[in-house]
Amino acid sequence: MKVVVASLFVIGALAGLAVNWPLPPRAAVAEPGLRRPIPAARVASARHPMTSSSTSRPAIVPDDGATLIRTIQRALVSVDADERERALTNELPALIAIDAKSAGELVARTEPGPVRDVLRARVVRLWAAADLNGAMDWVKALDDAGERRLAASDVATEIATSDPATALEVFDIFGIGRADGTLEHVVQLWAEEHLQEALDYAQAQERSPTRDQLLARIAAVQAARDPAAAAALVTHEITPGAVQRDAIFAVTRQWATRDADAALNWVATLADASLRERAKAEIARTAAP
Amino acid sequence: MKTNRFACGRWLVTFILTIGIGLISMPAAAQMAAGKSKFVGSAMGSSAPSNFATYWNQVTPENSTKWGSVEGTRNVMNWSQARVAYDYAVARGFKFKFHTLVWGSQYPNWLTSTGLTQAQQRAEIEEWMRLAGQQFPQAWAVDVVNEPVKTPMPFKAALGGDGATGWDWVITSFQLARQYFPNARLLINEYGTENDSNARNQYLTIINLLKARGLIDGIGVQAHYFNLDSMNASQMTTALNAYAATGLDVYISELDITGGGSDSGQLAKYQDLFPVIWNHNSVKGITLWGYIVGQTWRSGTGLVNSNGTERPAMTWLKGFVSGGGGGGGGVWLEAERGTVGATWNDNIADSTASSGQYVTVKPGNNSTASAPTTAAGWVQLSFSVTQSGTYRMWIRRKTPSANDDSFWVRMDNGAFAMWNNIPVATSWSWAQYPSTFNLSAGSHTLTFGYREDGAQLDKVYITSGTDTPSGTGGTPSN
Repeated sequence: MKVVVASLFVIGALAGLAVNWPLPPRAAVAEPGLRRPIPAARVASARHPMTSSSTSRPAIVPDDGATLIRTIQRALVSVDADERERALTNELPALIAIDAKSAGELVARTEPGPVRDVLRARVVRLWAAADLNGAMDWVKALDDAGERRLAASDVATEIATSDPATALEVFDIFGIGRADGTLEHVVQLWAEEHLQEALDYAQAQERSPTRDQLLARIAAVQAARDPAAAAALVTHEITPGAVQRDAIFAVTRQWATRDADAALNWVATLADASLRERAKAEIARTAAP
Repeated sequence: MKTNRFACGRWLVTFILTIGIGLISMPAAAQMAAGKSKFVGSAMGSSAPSNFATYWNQVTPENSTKWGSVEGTRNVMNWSQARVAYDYAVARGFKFKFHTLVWGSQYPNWLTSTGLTQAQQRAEIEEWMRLAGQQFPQAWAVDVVNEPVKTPMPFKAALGGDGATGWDWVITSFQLARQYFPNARLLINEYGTENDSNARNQYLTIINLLKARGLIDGIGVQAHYFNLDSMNASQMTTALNAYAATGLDVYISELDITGGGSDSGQLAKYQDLFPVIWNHNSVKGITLWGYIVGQTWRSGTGLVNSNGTERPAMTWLKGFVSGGGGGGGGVWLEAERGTVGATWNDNIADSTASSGQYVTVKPGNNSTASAPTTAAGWVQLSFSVTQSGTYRMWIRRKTPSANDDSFWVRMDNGAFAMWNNIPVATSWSWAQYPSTFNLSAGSHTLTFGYREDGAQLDKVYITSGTDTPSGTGGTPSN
């Protein structure tokens, strides 16, 4: 018990400092906005209902932002995990609903570290679900580049739960998800569910290494369903180079598991002799018992 | 030399919060799979939900142990969020799985965009694994390679590329993981193989390469909604059987289901697929990919609303897993291990019977009009359930002809009911009793009385689920 009591004091002191750590205001970083109109659901999302008739807890009356902020602040320094989680799942959405900017200010007043990381992630996701433009403006104004990147990633993650096209725009606006496979993976999973939508999106992009990467991922998905179409995609749409070579091998491998002869016929049409031989070897290995 | 972003004071806050919270708010309720032979866990985000331990007894960090999350800036390691999940699991004795070491997504962008040579990339990969192994020495398992079939690997050349096997980079990854995680189970993980035999065969090719080298301890099957929503129980069984044939343990690693988005659709799909997974002998654990509505990676997959109320599938899942009390979702009982009356032949050896034995009434004993009135004519099986509810019963039997196709059945002190015209079966197979039992939580006795002397009884399965048993069934509780 002594350990617990001592911990309470230490936690209270340290976390109290954490929440009130001042950060200087900063002008927003100049970054472009979304090209596509935001779906209505994003402006006032129903994904995070503030109250529920079925809840067993007292309904929150979201008419007093100051009270909500005090409750959240108190919870953040609490050692009671239930209290902290309740604040993040009940009071925080209520605060976002009536005054999202004050939730952002609460993050800004919190000392950098684990508590702030958790709070920021929750604020950003809730805010993005309710008001994407507002959340993005706040993220753009974050002072620390690393934190801005993390917050932007949270925005994109939230939007990707239901709208991969807009999520990809968010990645693009903040310059994140490139060169770490994230962007490509979002498109890949989009293609798993809605192949044509993902393909339309990628094909509409200006020719670039990123577009090639996206098309390569889509082709890998398409190859499992329609290898001939995937073969046409990688040979005609992807710029010759390393990405195209890997994409050709991926399609070849997929095709060979289904129809080795058809895969061989396609490989025979490849102009690059070394590529052709390597693809043939791939087929031989894949088709081997 | 790597440096840590956070100063000692900040670590102290994290440490004290974790320990303090652990001391004060240990879960009061047992998780649904507590005491079972397999776990049911969930992915965990940046913080531990207060009701996590109400449901789950295994933890997989959703993002915080991915390389890109930890080392977004080269040589600056941020383990803080990963430690939240790890400390939470260790404090409660839950299994912690590290997810993931090598994956063609969410890796640090500097790895492939700053002109590193393959040798430099390899050094960075090894350092990442070494530091991860040091950071989580009590990790129960590691997803060594994630999605080798489905997701292209941009830095595979640094790990040996395709090589002679076609998958040298995967083999090298596992060799390194064995070195740096010597005490953890090494797993592989993949999506989209559940209902695609071609993808599954490619995955099995890799698995068998690793198995032949003694490098792999288990198979991860992600089981996401975009595959499972369109599958049925039979297809799932086919997939699981294919993996079981390797002799390796199977883990459902990222389960989620939308069932089209409605509560009823999600419930129906869980009721269809989950029992097949849970009761499969090779499946040793199931991890859901998040569970709180609004906090999962895809909308529609959550099981618990943000206000704490449960969607119907969650309520059902809890009851299903915890309700049976046996090794699987229900209670499995060996007939020969019950109290077998003198009119029966007990412990008859048969290598195809569950546990190698079964019972049958002695020839010449028939009681077609009414049930035997003394225990000499009965097989009595005692069992218990932890939750009240409606239960179904299955028996593994041989009923070789229309004259050997019946038993008398009684639950507790109720009246015997005649179970006649059980479908003819000359080899062991499962038959479902046409009625259900309303059981209270606690102990019960199921009694079989002989009716026709050719009927043979091997095993009984009592379940609150809608699953169909297969093979020799699950681990008996008697």
